[in-house]
Amino acid sequence: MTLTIANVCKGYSQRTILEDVSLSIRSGEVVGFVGPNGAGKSTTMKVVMGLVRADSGNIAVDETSLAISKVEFLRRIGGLVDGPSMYPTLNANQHLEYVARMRGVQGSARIQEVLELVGLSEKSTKPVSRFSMGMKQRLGIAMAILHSPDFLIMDEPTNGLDPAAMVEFRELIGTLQASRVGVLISSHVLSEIERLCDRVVFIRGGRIVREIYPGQADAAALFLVRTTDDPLATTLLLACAAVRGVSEGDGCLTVGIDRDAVPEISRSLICGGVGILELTPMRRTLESDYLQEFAGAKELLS
Amino acid sequence: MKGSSFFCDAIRAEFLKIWAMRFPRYSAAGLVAFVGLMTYELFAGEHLADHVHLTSALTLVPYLSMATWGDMFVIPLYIMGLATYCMTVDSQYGMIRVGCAQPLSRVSYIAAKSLAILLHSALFTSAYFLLLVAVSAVAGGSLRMPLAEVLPIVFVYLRLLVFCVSFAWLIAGAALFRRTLLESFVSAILVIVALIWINMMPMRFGFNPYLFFRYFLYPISPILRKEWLSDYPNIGNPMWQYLVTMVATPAIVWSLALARFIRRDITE
Repeated sequence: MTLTIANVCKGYSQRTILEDVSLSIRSGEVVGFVGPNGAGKSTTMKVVMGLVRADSGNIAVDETSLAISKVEFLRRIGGLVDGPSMYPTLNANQHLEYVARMRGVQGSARIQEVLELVGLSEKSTKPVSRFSMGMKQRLGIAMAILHSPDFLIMDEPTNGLDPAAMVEFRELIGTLQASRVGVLISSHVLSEIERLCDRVVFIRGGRIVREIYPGQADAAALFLVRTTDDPLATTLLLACAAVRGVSEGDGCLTVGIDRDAVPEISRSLICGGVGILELTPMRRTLESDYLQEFAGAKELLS
Repeated sequence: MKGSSFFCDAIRAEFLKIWAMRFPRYSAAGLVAFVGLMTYELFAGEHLADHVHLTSALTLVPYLSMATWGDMFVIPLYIMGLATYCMTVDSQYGMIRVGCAQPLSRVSYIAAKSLAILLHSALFTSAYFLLLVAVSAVAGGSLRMPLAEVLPIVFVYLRLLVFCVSFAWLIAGAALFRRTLLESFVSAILVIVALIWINMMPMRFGFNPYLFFRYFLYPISPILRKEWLSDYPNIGNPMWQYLVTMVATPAIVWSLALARFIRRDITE
């Protein structure tokens, strides 16, 4: 099964929110959705959940399209968008009973199972007004997975979770993944996204700008280079075809190059009369990728 | 599962959700206090026992009806509170994102929610009327209910039920236009003011038989004394005009609100 978001556009009056967003998630795949505030993450998720109508484009689970068979489509989707929302006077049990009745989920066994899964079984009769943010998040997740959806859409689900709850959340995602549930998850906690996701999609200004696979070596890499003459080294490096960019700072150079071009740039520097004091590959993380993409260092690897 | 079954489940879910909130419990307590106070006022303030010979369990019902419905707007105000709160509470707390992501069309979702509100209004109206009968029986010191008195009372109850459910539907429609509790209360009050204001429309336009609040005393009028009703409009109108007004007025407001709701983005 595949959840496909194809060429989705959305705008309000003169402002474009989503521009030709295309993305697909397969069963059992966990996809991270990352971007700065206002990039269009939540709007994309709301469009997928049928809360916001797309101006154009198609969203479907296999052949079941949101536009044509909305009810059937929504049966296969669960979601937690824009943070947990609930009635302050009702307790966790009553919230789940409400969702169960709306979804046609029979019996209280599933409610108990889900409460245990999110660690709320002992607090299920406490009014939500007395819940902490983390407990509300857990209840929101419980409401989203109650009907065993094929695909789960989660917007910032780890907000307010304490470290222990984060571990439990990772385990929960692992369990869902093992049950072949496809997950689209957005978060600003990049280390969590890196740990959880098979694939990460970057969105900026309503457009998908990049897709990466955490843990997979990239053809391009960043190297830290210390030399005896940085200005000359910069000139020599920029003359090499394999070098994608050079930036100076803190007594060293940060150089973007193809991994297999290290011997070539070493030779170029030495032949040019520059002594190499250090040439170290920088470990790439989702955070560094994010910063390259969104914090102006993009030219190094573009 | 069939669509109709899902719709019934949704009505049940919405009804029980409202039931689980504090509103019905507090309103039951408030209702008992209100009717009790009005009864006390009738006996202690108006010295009703000096003027009325209490012969059956139902003797006091016309007096209590006039005091609690005819002279006050408390019951409609409660229904306004219930309908606005229950219709907007989802938007207020963001649960509308959960509601609108369920496998139901938006029309079904709002219809289920509205029906649940109407059922609660009907329940409240029934409790109110039963309380009038119970208080009358206790105050009259009698459980005797002659059939000749019971039938008009049942008829009045049914007419009152129609008015209250229709009013709840009207207010639910007005509230559906808005996204916060405060906004929906303001809208509901404005709708009530507009409907009262429209009562002043000149008779020559011919709309008077179909103006909602001209029927305010219509439900309880059969059991009231004639001299109490001398200035009230539409009292003698045929039942079909009453029913048409009770259905058409809320249906227009609710349908307009629904048409707007199904097209709007859920951004709250």
